[in-house]
Amino acid sequence: MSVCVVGAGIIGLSTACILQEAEPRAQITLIAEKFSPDVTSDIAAGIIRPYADADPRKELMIKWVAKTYERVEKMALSTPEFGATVISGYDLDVAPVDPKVVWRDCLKGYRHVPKRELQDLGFYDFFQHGVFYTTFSLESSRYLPSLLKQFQQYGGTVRQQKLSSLQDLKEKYDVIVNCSGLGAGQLVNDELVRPIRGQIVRLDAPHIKHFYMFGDDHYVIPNSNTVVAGGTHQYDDWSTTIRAEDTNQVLSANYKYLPALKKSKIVKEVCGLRPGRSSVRLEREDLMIGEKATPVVHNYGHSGAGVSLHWGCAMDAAALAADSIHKPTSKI
Amino acid sequence: MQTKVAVIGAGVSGCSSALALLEQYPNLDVTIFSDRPFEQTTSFGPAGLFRLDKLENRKRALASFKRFTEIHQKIGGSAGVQLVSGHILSDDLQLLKQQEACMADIVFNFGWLKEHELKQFANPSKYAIHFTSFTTEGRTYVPWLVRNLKEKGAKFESRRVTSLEELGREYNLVINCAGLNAGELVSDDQVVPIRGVLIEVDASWHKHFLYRDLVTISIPSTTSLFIGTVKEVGRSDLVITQEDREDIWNRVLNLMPTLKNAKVLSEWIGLRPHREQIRLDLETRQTADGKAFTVINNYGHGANGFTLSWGCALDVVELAGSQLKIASRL
Repeated sequence: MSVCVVGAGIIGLSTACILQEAEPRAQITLIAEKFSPDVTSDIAAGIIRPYADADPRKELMIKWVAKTYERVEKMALSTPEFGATVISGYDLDVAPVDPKVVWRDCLKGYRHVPKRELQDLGFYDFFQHGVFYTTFSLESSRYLPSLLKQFQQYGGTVRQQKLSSLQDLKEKYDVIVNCSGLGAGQLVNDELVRPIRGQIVRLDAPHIKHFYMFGDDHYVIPNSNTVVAGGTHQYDDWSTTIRAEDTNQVLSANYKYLPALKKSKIVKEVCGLRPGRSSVRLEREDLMIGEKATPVVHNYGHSGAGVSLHWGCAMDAAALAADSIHKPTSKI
Repeated sequence: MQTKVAVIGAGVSGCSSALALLEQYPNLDVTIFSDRPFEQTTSFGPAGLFRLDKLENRKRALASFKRFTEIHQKIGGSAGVQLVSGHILSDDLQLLKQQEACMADIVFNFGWLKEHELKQFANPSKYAIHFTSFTTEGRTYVPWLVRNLKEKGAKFESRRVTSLEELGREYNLVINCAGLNAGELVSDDQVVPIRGVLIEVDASWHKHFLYRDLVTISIPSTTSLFIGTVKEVGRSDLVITQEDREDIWNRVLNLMPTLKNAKVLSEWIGLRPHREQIRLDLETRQTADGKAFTVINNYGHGANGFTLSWGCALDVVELAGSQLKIASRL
C-alpha cells in the first residue's frame, strides 16, 4: 500500500504516524511545503482542551479529544522527550459552567472552583465561576520534530515540496491523505477554509505553573521555557506581521487578571493563522489524480483545536485510508 | 528614647519577624544579625512547599497562606512565590489523613484521588491526595524579604551573637530567630538537627509537585525541579554522600521514571531546626548592669519553617506589642 500524506503540521505528522502503526507494510511519503519550526502548529501554546467552536458535532469532538488525551497521557509517561507534559489549571468565566458538560469525563481532576479560591486568587471581580482540571500541553518545538523523527525511523519518507494542487503529485499512490490545514483552501478548492489569525506574546514567567483560560478569549499557558499570553481570533485576516495593538491588547487583558505578569520580560511576539472551517473535514473523496482514480482522505480544518483533536482525527483518517485499500474507488 | 530591636538570624524566621514588625511599626529601629552568608543558612535551600505536619500550628499556617496569597497575586515570581498543584501518594492512609486534618481547609482544592485516577502515576501507591498550594523558595523569597526590609530602613550586621546579654546592653528587644543555634543562646537543648538533602535538576517542564510519603519529594522551583530527601534525626554533616545520591535517586526514579536522564544542577544539604514544639514566647532579662531587656523566642520550626513563617512573625508582633507601646513614641 503506498500512501502520500500532505502536510507536516500536527495533523499531518500524527496521521502519518498512526498510518505507520496501522499499516506497517505501507510505504508512506510525507510531502509538505513547510516543516517545524515554520508551521502553524509551532505557534500554538499546545494545550489539549475541549473546544466548543471548532465543530458542532459534540459527540465526535468528545471522541476525538478523549482519544487524543488518552494517547498523550501515555506519551507523557513513556516518552517524555516528545515534550508532552501534565499541566493543571483554570477555565474561568462570568457564567457558570454547565455541570453536565459532556467533555468533563475526558479530563482528570475536573472540579468547580469555589468562590473563596476565586477571591483569593484575585479573579472573582472578573470571573465568578471557574473549573479546574488537569490536562496536557505539548511543547511544539519538541513534539513535532519528535513525531517526524519517529516517522522516519519507522521507514517513512519525507519530501519538501510545495503543491498547488494534488495533480502535482506525479507518483501513483493508493491513497492520499490531505492534512494541508489552511493550505487546503487552495489545494482542494475548499471555500469554507478561512484563516483565524492569532497573535500571542511569549513571556519569561517561570513562576507560572498553571494554565489560565479567561472567559474573554485571553489566556496564559506555560510551556517549558516560556509562558504564552494570548490571544486574538481575527477571522479572514491573512496578515502574518506582528501588530503592536494586538500585543497591547493581549498583555493589558492578561495583566489585569494576573498583575504579577507585569514584571515578566517579553521574549517574543508571534502570530499564526489557524486553519478555520465551520467543521473539521474528515472524509474520503475519490478524485482523478492524473489518470488514476485515487481515494483522498481529507483531514483538515481544525480551527484552533488541532492540538486537542490530533490523535483522534489521525485515527479516524488512518482508518478511512486503510479502508480505501479494501474498498477501492468505483468509477468516477 | 526609641526602642531598638535586634533580630538574631537572617533566615526566613528572622526576616519575616523583622518585616512584620516594620509593617506594624514603620519607624522601628531594627537591626538583623547574621553570622554567615545567606547561601550557607538553612533557609537558602528549601523549595518551600506550603505543607503542614501538626494540628497545633494550623492558625499560624493559615496566616502564612493568606500572606502568600497576597504576595502571589501582586508580585509572584520575583518574590519566589508560585501557585503549584500536585499530589502526595502513600500506602499509609493515616499519614494522608493527618495531612487532611492539618490543611484541607487551608490550601486550595484538597481532595482524595479515586482508585482509577491512581493510574496516572507510573508506580502508584494505594492512596493519594491532591491539593493546590504555594511554594516560597528560600533562595528567592528570603532575598525578597531582605529587599523589603532594606527599603523599610532595617539594618543588617554580620556578626555571630554569642550571648543575649551582649545585645541586651544596646537593644531593648531581642528576637531570637537563630534556628539551629537558637537553643544555645537560651540554654535550651531541645533543638535537634534533622538532615535533609535536595538535588536540583533541569526539568522545567514539571509544573506539579509529587511526593511519595513525606520523604520522597519533587517540587518545581521558579527555574528548576527539586528532588529529595532524607530525614536524619541528629545528623548534621553538610556534605552529600554517594549513599545519599543513590538512595534519593532510587526512590525518586521509582516515583518519576521520566527523570532518568535529568541533568543535575546542584546538590544541597539543609539541617531542619527541629524541636518538639515551636518555641514562641517572651521573657524579660537583665544585663549584668541591671538593664532590663525583652527577649522573644521564635525558633524550632523543623520542617515547617517557611509554611509557618508569617504566622509566627505575626505572633512575634503581638508579643512585642505591649513592650513597644510602653517604651516608644512611635
